[in-house]
Amino acid sequence: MRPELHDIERIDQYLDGSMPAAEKILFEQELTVSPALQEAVETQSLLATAVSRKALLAQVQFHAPPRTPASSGSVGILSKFKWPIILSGVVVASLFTWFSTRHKERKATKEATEMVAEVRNDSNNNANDDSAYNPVTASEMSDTTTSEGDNIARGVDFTYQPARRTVVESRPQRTIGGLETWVSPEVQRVLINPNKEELVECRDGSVVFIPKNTFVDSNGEIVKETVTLEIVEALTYDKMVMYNLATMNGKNALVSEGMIYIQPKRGTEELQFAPGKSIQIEIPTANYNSEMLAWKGVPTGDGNINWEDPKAIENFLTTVPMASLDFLPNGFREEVQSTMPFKNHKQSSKELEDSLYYALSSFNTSSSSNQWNSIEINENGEIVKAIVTTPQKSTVGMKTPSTTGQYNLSVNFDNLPKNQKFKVQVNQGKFEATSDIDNNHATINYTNLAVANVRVYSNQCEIVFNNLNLARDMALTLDCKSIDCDGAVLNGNNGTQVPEVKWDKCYLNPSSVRAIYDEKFASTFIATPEFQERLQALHRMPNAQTYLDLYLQNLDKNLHEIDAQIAQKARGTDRQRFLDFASQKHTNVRNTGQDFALLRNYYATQQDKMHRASQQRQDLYAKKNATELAEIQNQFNKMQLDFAKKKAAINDDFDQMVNAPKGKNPRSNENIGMVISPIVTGLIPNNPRPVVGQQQSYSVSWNAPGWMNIDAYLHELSNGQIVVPILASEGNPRGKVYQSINSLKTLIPLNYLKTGYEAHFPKNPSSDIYKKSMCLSIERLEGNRFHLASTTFNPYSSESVSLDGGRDYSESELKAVLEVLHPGSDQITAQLERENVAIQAELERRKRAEELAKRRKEQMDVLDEQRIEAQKELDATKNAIVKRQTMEREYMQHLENAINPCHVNYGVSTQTSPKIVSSPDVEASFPGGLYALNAFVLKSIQYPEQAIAQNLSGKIYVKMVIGTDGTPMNPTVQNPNTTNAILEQEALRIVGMMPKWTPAQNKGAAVTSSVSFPISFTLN
Amino acid sequence: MTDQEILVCIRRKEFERPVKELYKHLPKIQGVLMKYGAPEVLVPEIFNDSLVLLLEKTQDPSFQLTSKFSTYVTGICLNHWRNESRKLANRNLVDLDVEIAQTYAFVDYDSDKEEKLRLLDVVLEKIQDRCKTLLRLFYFENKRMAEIAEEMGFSSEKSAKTQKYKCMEKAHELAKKEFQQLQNPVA
Repeated sequence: MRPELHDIERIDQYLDGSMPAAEKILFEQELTVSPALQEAVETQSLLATAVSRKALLAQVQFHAPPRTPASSGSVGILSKFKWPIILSGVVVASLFTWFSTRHKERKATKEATEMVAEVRNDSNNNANDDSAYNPVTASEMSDTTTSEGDNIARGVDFTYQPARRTVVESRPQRTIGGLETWVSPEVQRVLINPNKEELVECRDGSVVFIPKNTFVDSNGEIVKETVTLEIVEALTYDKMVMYNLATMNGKNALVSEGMIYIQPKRGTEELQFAPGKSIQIEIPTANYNSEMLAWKGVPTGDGNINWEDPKAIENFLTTVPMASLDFLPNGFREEVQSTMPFKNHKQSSKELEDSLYYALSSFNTSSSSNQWNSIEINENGEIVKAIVTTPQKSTVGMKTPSTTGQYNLSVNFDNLPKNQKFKVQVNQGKFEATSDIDNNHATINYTNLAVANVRVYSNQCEIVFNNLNLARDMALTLDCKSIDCDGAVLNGNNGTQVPEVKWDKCYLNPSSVRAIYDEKFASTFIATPEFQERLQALHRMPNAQTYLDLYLQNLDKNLHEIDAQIAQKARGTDRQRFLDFASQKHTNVRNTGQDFALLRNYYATQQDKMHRASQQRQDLYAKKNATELAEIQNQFNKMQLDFAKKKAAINDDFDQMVNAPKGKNPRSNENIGMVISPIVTGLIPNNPRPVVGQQQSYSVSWNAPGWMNIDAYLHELSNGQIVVPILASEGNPRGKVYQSINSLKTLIPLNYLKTGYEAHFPKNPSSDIYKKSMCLSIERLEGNRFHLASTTFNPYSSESVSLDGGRDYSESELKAVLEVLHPGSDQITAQLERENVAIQAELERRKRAEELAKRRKEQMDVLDEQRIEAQKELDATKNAIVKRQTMEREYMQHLENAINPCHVNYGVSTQTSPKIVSSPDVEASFPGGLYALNAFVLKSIQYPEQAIAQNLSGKIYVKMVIGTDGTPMNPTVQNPNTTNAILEQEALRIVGMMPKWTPAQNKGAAVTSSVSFPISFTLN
Repeated sequence: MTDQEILVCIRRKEFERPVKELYKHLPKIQGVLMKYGAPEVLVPEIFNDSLVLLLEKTQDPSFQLTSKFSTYVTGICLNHWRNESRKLANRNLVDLDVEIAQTYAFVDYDSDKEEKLRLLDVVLEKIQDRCKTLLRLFYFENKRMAEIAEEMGFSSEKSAKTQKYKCMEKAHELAKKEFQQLQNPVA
């Protein structure tokens, strides 16, 4: 090794303490004598620090929340940047150097970040494998298990833990889990590792979570080898018909939200669940129905299934990252956005909106709920005026310069009772007043001084403060307990007229909203979209604060219990809303144990994705202008219309096809192909797999292989009194007749009774859904062909229904026909409706925002004019100052020339010094003290030859100013004397060579001061 | 998160939550910085650098929390900005100095060291990528040389060591140049 490298090695050892003791002593000795080595040690230690810092910076940037484009610095922003006007050119140049180094750094850190991400990906490579799971050896398996376990335990990056996806394999197969199906079921298969937790995403959107060691073989041994999960989803009506999945519990009809079949296998061996173990199944739904139960499918032995043993569904909540929730009242952000630009902000940001909203809380002196009607924010971002009302108490905060004048406060009541006492509080002073409707007058007295007059009307009281000297902050509380005040407005009639700004009323104290935006609630139901929904409702409700507290105090209870409590207390539409909430039967956050980390994280990821997608969509909308948006709306309407037409056409076609007399083929097979062409694909948002976590879902803990069904009773139908005969021949035993309701997923097999079949309906139906009923018959023919007939009818107007029509289909044709029969079209329609609602809301929002912006702009124009005026004045003042400064400088130059006609460079700048402190706490001193000063003078003195010749000697008193940085300035000779001119010149030369002094200090800060000292010239 | 939780997290090298938590103070700190003349575009950089310094300082077991983290970060930010603005002839420098001396005196900030580290940042940009990785693994991730040799595909621990020393030597050389420029800005 080269000697230089050896040195580096030694320094390394010395720095990290691995150097042997004896060698260390030697090294330290060497250090004391070798400045070069000292320097090297320092540099190396700094380099190590710099390396760690770089890595740390990468991490900080990696974890930093994303910033809005306006505030994230980049070179490009410099062009918009107004600073160069204020700073000199030098500054701009140095800024550029900063930027160029910074830019490089950023590039580097980006690389570093990517590197980090890459490493993460690598460590999860196994899990990344999309569809195929490669069986791994035992040792590898345990490796991955531990590393992933660590990840979860540390709560780090879950986003790199994707779910496994199933692969559909259609094999000709007639039975599945004891059920005889019409067509071959689409069996989805996925390989999983039973030694770790696994998450499986099924094709139609179900999600299955499997804890480790869940499955056992026939001997009861826990299975360690690769397990194949066979899954069949039947979430739509057509699948139910195709698979002969009748919705019956004994003689009770059920209405279904979807069925799923899950069978774990090792090779071909069917596996069982280990005792006490269960998997978690999530079934997506567009309309959550809290009456649903989870049923177990039990084969009846004749190829049918009976649903038994219903089990309650727990409607878990799933937490999402706090940052993705928005707890601010609806409309507040738009309000802020319309006031842009505001202060230094060109664009609004979440931080700004949040901070403005929270700033409102500083005005809230009482802890009770407040309703904010109006605020005004001045240029400094302070709230100048806020108008507030509460149901029980009104607090009006006001921040004004001290002014005297009349202030009116009017409070609106609903039916003010006569002789109602109420209290008024102005700052600390408390006043009492009594309403006297008859006399329409009341006085507020304070120590025998009438401070205000109150005019009371039947539904309003107006308080006029006489010559009230408003202190800087005025808080006014109106306590009218039993009175329903619904508006209090404080108008200062000698303050400036404030344009009133309104957004939706909000009753919650912003500070309490801020308080719940806290990480400590991250694992409670606070951090769920469901709670966000409730909070948005609370914002508009009186007593919101109490209700919010109710939630906060019962974090361990089920959400629906608290909803119900609030529903009891609330009134009117609020009550209904919370009853609706309660009926959703949301429980609490899912078991927070580690077992569920995977599922929780999956939900969080899905939510995040959706959040981002909706953000993108919103941005997109924001970019388009109104006309474009209208265009989109038109197109959308057109598409919707087309869709409706096509759907109607298909229904017609279908009816014709299905009900055409036997033997006649009114349409060729190609037509079926046309019919099934999925017209809606263009409309479905690009989410080929509907996904649990982006909408509501049923969550079931399940512990048996086989069929599972999410169903609710349809008692009304089972107990039906009205009987409609279905005329159909008994046909061959491989056929079946079903009754169903168009808009419900219910499929009831009918039994042959002597002459035909009978469908039952309730006598007094609770809704119109039964009016659109359907019956259909399917029959298996030779050569894997089917006969299908169906009729839609209204049981309340039909004597009987005939199923004699129909026609023959092959298996694939049957599938195609059934798909459009009762297509998942209700889902698509729901999707379309949702889209439509979103677009309408967006249009509405834009309209509002535009109006606001317009109003704001008018105000801004006025303000702008004022500002321009002010700017002009300011400019004039500034010019005057600059002019004076220039003159002063010229004058000083002139003085300097006068003092120093020869332009000798003394090396001391002559400046106008800032004010000189005459007696500072600590005097300025020469570095090293007086002794050193003397030494310096003696060393530098060059006795002028002329002086020697003239035998000149004596003391020259020099006076000068020491700047705050210690620079000596403006040296002068005290009591100059022409005879000593030569010595004086020498004295000034010496002073000019002086190094920086230690500046004087006053109250701990460096100040400018003056010093004087003599320089002696003596001749021996 | 309480400050104590933040501290514990940082010491465990779990930076995500502390960073997110501290980022909540950015708007306020931005206000303070801009009051003392820091341009808005520089604020995120200054803030990130300050977080880095904070993370570094808190790693030291002897570090004691004497104020709120937000105050501490503000203090570092101001110090960083002062360091930078000395070169920019900032008009607010005196005010800034006073503010730092009065309110943030407890922040232990070595401006000479920070200045040098800033230059070393440039130095580290100039060395080879492989060197960067090597140094990072050794000095930041505290990996043993044998592990590094394996990870980076060196034939032996010894050759990895030699390579590291060579990297260091190169860095030394570059650092020397940079430091000289610091002393004679004209050269």
